Amino acid sequence: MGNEAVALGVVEAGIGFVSGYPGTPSSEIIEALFSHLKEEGTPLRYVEWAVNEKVALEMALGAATGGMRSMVTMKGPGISIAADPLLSAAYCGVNGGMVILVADDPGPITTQTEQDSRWFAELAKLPMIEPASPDEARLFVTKAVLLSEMTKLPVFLRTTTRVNHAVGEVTPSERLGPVSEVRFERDAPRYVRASMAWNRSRHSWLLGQLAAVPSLASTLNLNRVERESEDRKLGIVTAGAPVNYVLDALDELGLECGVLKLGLLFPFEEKPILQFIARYDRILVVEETDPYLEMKLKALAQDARLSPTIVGKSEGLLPQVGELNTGHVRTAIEGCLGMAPKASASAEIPLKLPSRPPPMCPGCPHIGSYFSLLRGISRAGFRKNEVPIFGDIGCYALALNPPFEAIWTEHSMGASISMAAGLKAAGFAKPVVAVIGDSTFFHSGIQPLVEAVNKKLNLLVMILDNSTVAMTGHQTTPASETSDSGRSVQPASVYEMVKAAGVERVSRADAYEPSKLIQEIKDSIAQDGVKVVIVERACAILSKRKGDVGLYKVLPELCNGCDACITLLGCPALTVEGDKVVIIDEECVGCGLCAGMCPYKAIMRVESQ
Amino acid sequence: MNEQNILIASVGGQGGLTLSKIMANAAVRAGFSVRTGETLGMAQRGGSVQSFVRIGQEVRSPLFSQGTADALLAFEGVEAVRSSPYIKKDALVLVDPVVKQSITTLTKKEKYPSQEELLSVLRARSCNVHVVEALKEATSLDSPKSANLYMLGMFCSLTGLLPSEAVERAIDDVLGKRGQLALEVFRSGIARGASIRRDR
Repeated sequence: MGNEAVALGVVEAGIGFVSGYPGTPSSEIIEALFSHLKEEGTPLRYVEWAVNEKVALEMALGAATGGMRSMVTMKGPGISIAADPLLSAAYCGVNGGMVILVADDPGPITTQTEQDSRWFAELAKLPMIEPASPDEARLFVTKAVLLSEMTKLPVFLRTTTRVNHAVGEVTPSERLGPVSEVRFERDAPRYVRASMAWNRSRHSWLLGQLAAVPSLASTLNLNRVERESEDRKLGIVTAGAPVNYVLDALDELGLECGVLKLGLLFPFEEKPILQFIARYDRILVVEETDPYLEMKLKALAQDARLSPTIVGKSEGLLPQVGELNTGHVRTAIEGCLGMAPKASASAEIPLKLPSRPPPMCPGCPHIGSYFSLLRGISRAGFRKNEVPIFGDIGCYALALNPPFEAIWTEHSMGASISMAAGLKAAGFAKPVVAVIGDSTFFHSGIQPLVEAVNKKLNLLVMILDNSTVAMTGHQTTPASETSDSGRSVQPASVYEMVKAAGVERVSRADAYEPSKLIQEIKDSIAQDGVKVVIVERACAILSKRKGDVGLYKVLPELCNGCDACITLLGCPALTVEGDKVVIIDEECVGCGLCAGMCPYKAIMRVESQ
Repeated sequence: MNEQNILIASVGGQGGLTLSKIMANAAVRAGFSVRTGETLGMAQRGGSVQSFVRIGQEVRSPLFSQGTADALLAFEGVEAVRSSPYIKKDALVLVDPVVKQSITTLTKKEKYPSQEELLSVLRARSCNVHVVEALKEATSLDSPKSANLYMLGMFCSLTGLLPSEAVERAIDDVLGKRGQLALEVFRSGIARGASIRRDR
């Protein structure tokens, strides 16, 4: 997998410090590094998940300030969270090579926005490179470290899902020697941003470093002319995963075109780019999401007074929404060359297929939490459609699907609490609810809780504490007693933090005991102030792995097929055979929630032998 | 060899992703270039999953276009049909007739098609469709989780694409200790494939 290849690249580059926050498609890099950490002769000294991306980036900056080579990993939206230290980091620069890996998700396949993080290179004035395959991702880690050490600037390694999650063969390279000594010498004008005169002078320094990047980078061979063509009609400029679609499309069409693959996205290595585009009458830019390269190439050609026609997304040849594929690129090339498009295979299925909205897992504690929340709202005398439930990022956002169809919003990390508080502050009359997971709470939920309590706003916050970052693959949270690397850590307490924020009504409940939870929600929802219910129950997948499970069965003679259990819970361990409900043995974890729903007492616990 | 495009269609939790990992691992052992990619949503379990596997001399893109799959390995009937636009005419189709209801069919908002309806769509696209009771066979060998490897055994036997020694080492590598029972299921799939070949 591309992310495992990046991890190998980290070891090859002699990186000693790695931090990050889990987020698809970036998470497997640090996961893979945990095993490299245990290898003999590893350059790795510290590999850990941080509480959020801002903290992770600042820690990596601290390590690189001391001369240690460092990396920080995150998904696209993470770079927005880390943007503040990012922009200052460009002013002080680094001593050890520092790599900022940001994994975008054209599609989007698993991300709230289809953001194009390439713009952050321009904003922060930091170099950015992008690989096109798993093996190149490995190789580019070392190149990023070398470029960072040559320029003294943190360097972006930008990837996308089709590189991070693609599996492909890799060939290991020689390793850079690791850094042995960590030291830090005081240099206030460089590291202190409290003097405006110093800031101006560091800004000039930054621009000077940036101007030197193209000539320094030329030794790293980041850009490559993949194809040259005698025919001058069309040249293609591309970068990252789309390089593969371009080469495949040309092979499928049997065409000769020039292809320039850019590895250095910012700042441009202008000379070879100008040489390439000058050879062709027309240049097609193939890239995902925004027309980033296209805009820059157009400006570059204009300044150089070159006259090829540069086309891409602005001309509608390629979509700005969704990931690209070989078919899109083929159509764009055909459009540029005025060819008749090749007929594509019929995509129609002559049968209406049922949809498969992703459910929560069998026995997921969130099932009990949402069932109780909706029931509590109704017991308190409100209709479902008059109490907004602000959702947050995590598995519990799956409550948007049937049967719950519960959450009204899902935005950025921690926004459940702040948006609920904002609506209430604006004068919304009915109660409001925020639902947030434990890891999201630690990441960005504490500050909005402090804000809501401080302003004495009325809202109910449900913190779903399943003791893990479930959605991204079960990473530990700050409440864990051991970190994923095996380090013994000081566990943080959600309960104590909520108390310390000044919340007066805090209760703890079990997702598998809905009656208590329903009662608390009913009693507290309309009360003044911030009320917090912490629902504590480990993720069912983890419980199952530990063997901490039971089993229930349906007594067919008592089941009358009313399907109440399925309609109310939507647990995937429940299915229907004939006109009776059946529990799928290998799915059931024995939470017992369904037994409590059955009006006919037809669901029984199976006592283990 | 031309690139071989293989699509694996499953419901999250059925082992489709693990199968693509094992195939990629085996392909590299057999000296091929390989790429895999997947489309999956945000659920840990229970959503539709498509895994793309490409094996050849020099593979670049992890995905392939509709109408270009040489084989479809499907662990569920509806998912097989959902992925059918990807297959070439007369691609090898192995489909387990397992029914995985979704919340919409259980609550009767949508109808789960009959096996006949599903199979007729597949057979209209390919005359090389085989119904494979992989889950049943794997369960009978005490390893229901290895249904994916029964399917892989049949695939290897019917296509000759991946040598079984490479696959067995890949299974060992990817599954570790869990791989012992899985190997038996894989071999049983190979035997079934061989018997289909003989019957042709």
